[in-house]
Amino acid sequence: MVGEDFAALLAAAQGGSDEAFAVLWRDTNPALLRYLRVIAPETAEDVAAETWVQVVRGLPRFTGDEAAWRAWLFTTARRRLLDQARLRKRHPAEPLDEVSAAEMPRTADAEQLAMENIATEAAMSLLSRLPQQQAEVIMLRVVAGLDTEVVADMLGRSPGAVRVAAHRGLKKLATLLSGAGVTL
Amino acid sequence: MPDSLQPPNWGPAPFDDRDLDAVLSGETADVPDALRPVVDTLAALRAAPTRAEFSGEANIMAEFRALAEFRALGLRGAQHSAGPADTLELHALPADRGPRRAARHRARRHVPPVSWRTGTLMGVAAAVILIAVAFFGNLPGPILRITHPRHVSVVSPPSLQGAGSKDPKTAHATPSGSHTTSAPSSTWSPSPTTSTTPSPSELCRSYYASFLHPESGTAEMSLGRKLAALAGRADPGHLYLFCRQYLGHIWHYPGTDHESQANPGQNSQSQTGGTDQAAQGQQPGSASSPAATQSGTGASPSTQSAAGSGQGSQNGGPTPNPPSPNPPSPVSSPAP
Repeated sequence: MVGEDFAALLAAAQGGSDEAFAVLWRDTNPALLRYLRVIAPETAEDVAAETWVQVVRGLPRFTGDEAAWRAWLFTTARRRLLDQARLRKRHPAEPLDEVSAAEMPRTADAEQLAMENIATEAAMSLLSRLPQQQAEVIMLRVVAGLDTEVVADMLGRSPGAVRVAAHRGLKKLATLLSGAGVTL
Repeated sequence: MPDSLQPPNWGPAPFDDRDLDAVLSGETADVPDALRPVVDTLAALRAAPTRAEFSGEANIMAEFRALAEFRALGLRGAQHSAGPADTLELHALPADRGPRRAARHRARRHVPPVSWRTGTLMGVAAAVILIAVAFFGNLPGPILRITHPRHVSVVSPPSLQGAGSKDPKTAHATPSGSHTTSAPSSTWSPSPTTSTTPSPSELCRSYYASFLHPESGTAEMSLGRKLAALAGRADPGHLYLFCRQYLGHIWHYPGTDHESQANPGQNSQSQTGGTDQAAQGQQPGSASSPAATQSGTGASPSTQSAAGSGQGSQNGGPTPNPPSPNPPSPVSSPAP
């Protein structure tokens, strides 16, 4: 979080200062990427790039505090994500070659990663095992730092439904972690 | 039998909703131990970014600088076409302008079909033409005039039609022979330029040329009848006087040289075809009058005047007087 300097940084970025914009980008891009990697791991980088392009274009017209900034950023990312999903649905990608199971890259599952070392990647892999709506709510609440009302507004649901989804996700996450025999 | 149906490991829930809200809010001081792995997992999600997560900084900063430069130059419209377009900001319409007119679709821009009124008119016209053809065996005069203006206008006078002329022009003038003399006015062309009736000078020339070929007696007779119809009388002297008006400039008379020289313009006028024009400009009604042509008695005043002028020459042979500079047409309107 940027904190108290956010307004000055935003004004400088809107005036064309690339240093100020770089600070904003470095503050929010990791959270954006993590959110997208949990929701759409295949197109996370592409969607993030498109999101930032659109944010750059709309930056001079943006007004608000840091919470509004983050809400705008993640809302834009979510819309780009939906556009990508629609595009892939219309023009499905065809695999170039058949890859046998023996040639597939072997990655450790979430429990194994959690046992070895709790890292960000392991936590994201564990969270991606939740239902998408629950995982999205948790990521928006925890990683993006948005409150329940903002998340409810983004997802088009009521704050109570968002809260319930978040609780169910956390319980399931706890169950997954306990089932793996790991106490993080 | 146990008193409780609950399994022995079931007990009170290790955490409640307030603990979950605290975990989500990041207040992890008083969370139960059962939620500790979850707290650690969420903390890992908030961990410091890795280097891979900053890999796209150069690209986005380049985009930012480019747009900043464009904005500084005032080229707000120079946007990159690769990305999604901005939201189009539409100006709000004033409330008193009413609802916006519906957009026109391309599918509505089709060529309108022929209206039923036009189709009905066309059908009626076709039916009238068919009925007319069925009843009369040919197209009616007005329609024929529209479709074949030249053919309609070349109907010759009835006196010439019945002559059985072998003249190609005359034959062309009566292509079908279906135009009877009962209605000459309806088939006679008002335009003198479109008439193909042989002019009096041509008739005269052909008539006197036929004297050089005595074997064509029938042609001579037919030409004589035509000339008689034009001249009003059939006697050779009258025909001579009649044709002298048109061919006098060709015929040389020893006694008229001085008079021709005295009025040189008169002959030249007649040489220019003025007589032909006068003949072609004849009044249709008088020329095609059956009474004037069939009687052959010179009932027409003009023919009477022509006969009267030729009366003296008949007595005294070829008249020394030159032809009139504007000889009265035998079919023209009577002189006052």
